[in-house]
Amino acid sequence: MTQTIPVTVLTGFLGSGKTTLLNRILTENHGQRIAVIENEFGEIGVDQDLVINADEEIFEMNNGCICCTVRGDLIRILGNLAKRRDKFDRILVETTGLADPGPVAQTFFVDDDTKDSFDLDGVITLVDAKHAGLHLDDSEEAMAQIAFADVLLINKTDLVDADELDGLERRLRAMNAMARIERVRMADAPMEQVLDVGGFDLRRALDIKPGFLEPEYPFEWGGVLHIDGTARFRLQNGPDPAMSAVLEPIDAATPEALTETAERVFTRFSAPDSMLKPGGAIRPGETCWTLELTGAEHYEYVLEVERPGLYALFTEHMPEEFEAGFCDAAGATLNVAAEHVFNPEHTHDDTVQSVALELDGEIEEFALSAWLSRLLQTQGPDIFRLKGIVAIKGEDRRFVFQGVHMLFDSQAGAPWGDERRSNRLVFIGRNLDEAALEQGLRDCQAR
Amino acid sequence: MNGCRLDRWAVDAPLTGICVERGGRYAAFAAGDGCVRIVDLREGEPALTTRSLTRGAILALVADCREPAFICGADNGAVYRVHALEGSRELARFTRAWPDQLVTHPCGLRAISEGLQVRVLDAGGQTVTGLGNHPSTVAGLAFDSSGRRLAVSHYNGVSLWTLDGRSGEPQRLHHRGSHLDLSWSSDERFVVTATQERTIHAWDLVAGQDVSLGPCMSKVKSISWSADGDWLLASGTDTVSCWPFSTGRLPPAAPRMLGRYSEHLVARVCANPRYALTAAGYNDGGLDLVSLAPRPQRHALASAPGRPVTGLAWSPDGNCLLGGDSDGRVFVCRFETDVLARLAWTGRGS
Repeated sequence: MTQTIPVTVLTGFLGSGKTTLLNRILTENHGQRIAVIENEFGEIGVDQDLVINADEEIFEMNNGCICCTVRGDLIRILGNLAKRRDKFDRILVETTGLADPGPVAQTFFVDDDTKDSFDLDGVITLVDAKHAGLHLDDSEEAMAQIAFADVLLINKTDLVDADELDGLERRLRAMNAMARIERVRMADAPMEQVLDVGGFDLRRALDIKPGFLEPEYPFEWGGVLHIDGTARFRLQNGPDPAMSAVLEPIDAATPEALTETAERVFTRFSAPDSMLKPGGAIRPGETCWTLELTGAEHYEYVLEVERPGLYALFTEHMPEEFEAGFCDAAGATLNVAAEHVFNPEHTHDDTVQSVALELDGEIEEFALSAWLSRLLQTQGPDIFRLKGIVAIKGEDRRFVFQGVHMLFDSQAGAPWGDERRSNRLVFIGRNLDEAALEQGLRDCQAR
Repeated sequence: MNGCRLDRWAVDAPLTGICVERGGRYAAFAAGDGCVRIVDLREGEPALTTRSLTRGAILALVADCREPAFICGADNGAVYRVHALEGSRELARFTRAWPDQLVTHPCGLRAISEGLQVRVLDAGGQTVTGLGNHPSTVAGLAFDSSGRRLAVSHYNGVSLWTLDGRSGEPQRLHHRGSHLDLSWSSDERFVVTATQERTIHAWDLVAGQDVSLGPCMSKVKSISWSADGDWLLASGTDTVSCWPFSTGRLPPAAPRMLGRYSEHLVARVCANPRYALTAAGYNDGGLDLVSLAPRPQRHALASAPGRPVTGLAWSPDGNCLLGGDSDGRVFVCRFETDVLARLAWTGRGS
């Protein structure tokens, strides 16, 4: 039996480092012979026998599926490469910076010849740490590249600071909860992170573990202060006439200690606020204080503690938005010993997002298939990728499936054995209604 | 099967092209190892002569305009002329395109795909004209019987060029989607294509109509006309689909399904040029001869298991069948006089 040839798709905006990565892959000593299908002409700096330049030819399929497009050039080139299959072990397809990976992925679902000889191994998307934010704000293609990815390589991480990087990663994670995210500098990802990913291989889909999103904190800022009895918190008018704040003892003046403490005080922000007029005292404890910041130009609150030591103050907004500062009882400026910004990207409300569903018990096969086909029919154009592992009533083995837009593929997976039967689905798409999806799955539950 | 001699070889690279030159004496197999192998069909103990042309793969092979020679396109961009006895030479070389579609005509013309264009060469190898730009990379080529018209398939339809020395606009036959392999009916009334959507599309050039046939169970990899021109045969289902075109009207009646039914689909069909029968190659390597009679007779030439059949061809006199698969196992089957005639005749009924 002849083996199928794995195909890796490399996407990423211009300048994200695709060519650097490609050249690394081609020069690295990994013992594999790789054929490259390149869409940006002549950028490879390596003398390579098997580099094919292709012009993207996007073909709409006439099959009643409104969003189904394939890469005609890829079908043709892969078909011809299959004729010398003994000459290489793997194929890399580099898309142009502005390409939506959808047609490439769909080619592997739709075309019989491509399916017979090749396996789509994974979509690798390079993300330029410095400019990704801009691209994501104004490009549908950039969002699609994130949404389709099995691996997101955040490149050029040395050009931005740690907070910016955390923010970007959080934003990417919210869009694509399934992809593995790696940080690299000069596109220097280890080969095993990029090749043999198995992103579309249902046989390897043993479990679905969406990357858990860092919770959205109800505060934007946390700072550590050394308070000896009392300190003063001075503010001016800002974007909000009031602001919540919590004071809490802390062990160390480090960002890590702040993140840890943040988890502890998290829920206090949802408790009823205790209104505080200017001049009032913010004390540590269970209380979440709401500072009134209206009707004057300057405001002063007192931070009051019984025991001198390190305390963390968490505020709903960034202190600089209120020109805020601290001083001690004597009026000398009090420095913030450590600080951490929470939710720095909270203003990004990307249209592309991931929805992960989890449900215990068993699923009615007929109901599931009806629900999914209705869903893909109506929302297929908005669903970039879909993966699921479910427990069908009366079946000993897992039912594993995936979708790309309106195309769907499924097979029986590993037996459940003694394991607890549960169902996990992840959708990556635009305008996803999480509540409706959850209800849809629940309606399929076997009684 | 009695009454035939079957010779087999293993060339250890996928078969990518197969044909008999116009004189009918020499056959050639092209393969993914960059070689063309030639066999003399008149020899009692036939043997393959190997011509190595390139390190890459030969993508396509056809009989050249004049006997006894072939032309083939390779993935280094070169088009070679391979003479059965005298050796090989490079006819053309493209820099950014693969010459994977080739057709020739006895009048001395060769048409070769070059990306969005078609390059037409004369018998001496000089470029006569370049036809383009087509909406996508050219996916199929076919001359009409006179060699004056060339049909070119591509995305969203077919372009019909008239090769009268004046460059003009082609007649456009429009239909959405990607059109691949194509063929003229013998009366040149119909142009048919196999499409990416697993259908066959037929245009009636006289009535100005067109129709989609199918869809089939998989992409149609080969279409072929019966010797009398009445039937269009197609691969892509679990039997040979046999569409009646004798009425001259579209759409044709429902197809007759010939051959064995099995889970392995028909990969290649090739109608005999003289008798009312066809060869059918399956995805499991199986190979049948099927008569096109009302009560079709089927004779298995090879049985499974094997690799998908990737090429079939008949000699012009219809007495010799060649084939091969994606693992490079090739064969030549020479039939004794009357064996095929009898097979075509049986099943005709009263």
